[in-house]
Amino acid sequence: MININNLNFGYSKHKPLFKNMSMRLSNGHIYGLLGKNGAGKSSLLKNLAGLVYAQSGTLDVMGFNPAKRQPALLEQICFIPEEFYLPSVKIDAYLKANAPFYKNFDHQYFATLLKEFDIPASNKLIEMSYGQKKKFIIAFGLATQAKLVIMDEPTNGLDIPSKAQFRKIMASAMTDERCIIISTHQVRDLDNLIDTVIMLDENDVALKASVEEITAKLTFKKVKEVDDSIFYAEPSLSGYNAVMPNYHHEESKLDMELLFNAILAEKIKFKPLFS
Amino acid sequence: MEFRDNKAIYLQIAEYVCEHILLGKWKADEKVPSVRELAVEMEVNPNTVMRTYELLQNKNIINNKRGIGFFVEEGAIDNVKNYRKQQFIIDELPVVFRNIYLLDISFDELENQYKTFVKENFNA
Amino acid sequence: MNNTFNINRFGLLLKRKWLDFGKIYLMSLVVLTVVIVSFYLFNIPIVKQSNLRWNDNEHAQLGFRLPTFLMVGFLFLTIEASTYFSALGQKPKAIMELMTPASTTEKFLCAILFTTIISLISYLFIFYIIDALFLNYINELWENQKAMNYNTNKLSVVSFSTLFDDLTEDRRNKFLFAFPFFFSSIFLLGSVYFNRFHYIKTALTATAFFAFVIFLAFKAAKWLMEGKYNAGAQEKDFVFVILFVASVIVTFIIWAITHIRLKEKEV
Repeated sequence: MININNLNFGYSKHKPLFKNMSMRLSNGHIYGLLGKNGAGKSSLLKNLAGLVYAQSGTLDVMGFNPAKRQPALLEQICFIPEEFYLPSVKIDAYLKANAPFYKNFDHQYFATLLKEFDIPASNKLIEMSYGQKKKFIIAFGLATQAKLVIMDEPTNGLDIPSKAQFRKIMASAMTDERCIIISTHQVRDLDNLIDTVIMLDENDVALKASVEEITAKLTFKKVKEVDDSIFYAEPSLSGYNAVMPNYHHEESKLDMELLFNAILAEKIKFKPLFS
Repeated sequence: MEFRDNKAIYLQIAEYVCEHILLGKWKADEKVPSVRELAVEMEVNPNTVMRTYELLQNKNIINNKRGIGFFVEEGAIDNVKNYRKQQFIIDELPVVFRNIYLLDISFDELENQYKTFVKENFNA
Repeated sequence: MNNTFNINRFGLLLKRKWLDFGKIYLMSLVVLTVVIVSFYLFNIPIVKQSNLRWNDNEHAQLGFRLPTFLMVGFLFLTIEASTYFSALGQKPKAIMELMTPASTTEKFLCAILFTTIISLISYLFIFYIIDALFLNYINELWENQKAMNYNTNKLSVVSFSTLFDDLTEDRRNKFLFAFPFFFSSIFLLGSVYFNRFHYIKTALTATAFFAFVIFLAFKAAKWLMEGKYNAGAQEKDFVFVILFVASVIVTFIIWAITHIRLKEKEV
């Protein structure tokens, strides 16, 4: 689906954001893109969508170079930016103007999604709240049947019931032909949806591994005391939340936030496990 | 569904499915929800549910009729009990034993407690 | 699938653009109409005012009309052009615009169609209608009145000329017909190039640039022609032809640059 090879990218020559980054992403997965502020999550997504251009390296998305902005690729990409713009028209006017660009657009599915998101179809886009607008563009984007779904902080601005609706919709939107990439720093909203974690740090991919692979190699649990076998631990109410190598084939639940902090703090310890 | 923090999600979903079979909500030879349906209900990645279903197939709790979907096995209830028993002996019993030993609880006392519990909760 | 140009997609793009900015466009046409009408209202010669201007065809001229036509036309075309791609300066709008599944060429041609052809036609149409209505009115007002024609020193029947007469009066005007395209192309480029304050930045940059070019051209001409001869009427025509050809070529060059800038636009 996506092949990134030796990508070099930066907004200025002196401050590179990605140095020789390489990565492969395939369909049938929901990738969770994690990283500190400024690590380049949004920039990576924009590179994939062809909104910015790499300085060197190759980028292949479904056989296209996204920088060329060819309609055949654009109609297969659903890009949900963090900040978005919607014209001040009614929903059906928006549909009339935009849906025909996507030849696989599914009107019935769109209506179902609006219903699940509790958005009345007669609404005017300008009168909707930020959260409703966000749900609207997500519904529109998914209804285009695009094969590559890119979402930058999709749960920002969604209230608690909407987040649950969002998770349900994403669970049903994930098909074998689709590749879904979601950047987020609110991992707790999405950690059960993500099946592969991509972490960006220090101009490169710090970790790319499936949840299955991570929990096979690492175990996440509560401990009373910290000893040498523990890679990283954070104090909690009843002792410590700890990450350690999984010696006894324990089936623990991946704590994405803990993993994130652990890798930022103790990168060297994790390197040999995931290479 | 609320997930607990101490166990892999796919195992927690397996427990959920087993619970339904034990309680008779899903009966033998009946269709269980599809991977997608259950993923939507649980708000999890369908790949996770797929992993659950693979596990349950290995334990002969459900079977896959190609092209139709997943069905509850003939002897599913026994297999669930077996599976849960193993899980209980491996995961939970050591903790219980540890407490029994530390708190010095006699088997007689334990038996009484157990009988009252069953009476109160299951009217047996 | 054709990834460069597809008439169907182009049609969709035009439709979407119209749905998006049609309302604003129609409002701008209303403003335009009000501006032109007010120029006419303030300037039409009422009866008893006898200092009329006359053209060679013995028609009375509306002296304010040509400058109004040129000035308002310049402003209208350049404002339309400089707002067209202004959305690309705002990140959220730019993402939406660039992610629309149509090729850059289609988006660019859509811009040309809206900012030059549709704008120009609607401007000419509105001006023509208003002019015709007012001519009708003042010709009736002045019906059978006579006034002194200072060109011929005769008392002549007053009848007002049309805008078309004004434009064709000096045959050299025809060399300026590429100018609307030229100006609108500059401001269209400005709307892609700058992220904010498109109009003023484009105006300043273009003025500075062309002032410099003209200054150089004059210097070069002076140096080449120093004391050789004075240009006759024939040569003056030649200069106008060069001006025409140059404005056409520069317009195409600016369009080409705009197309490239649009391709290279990043968010």
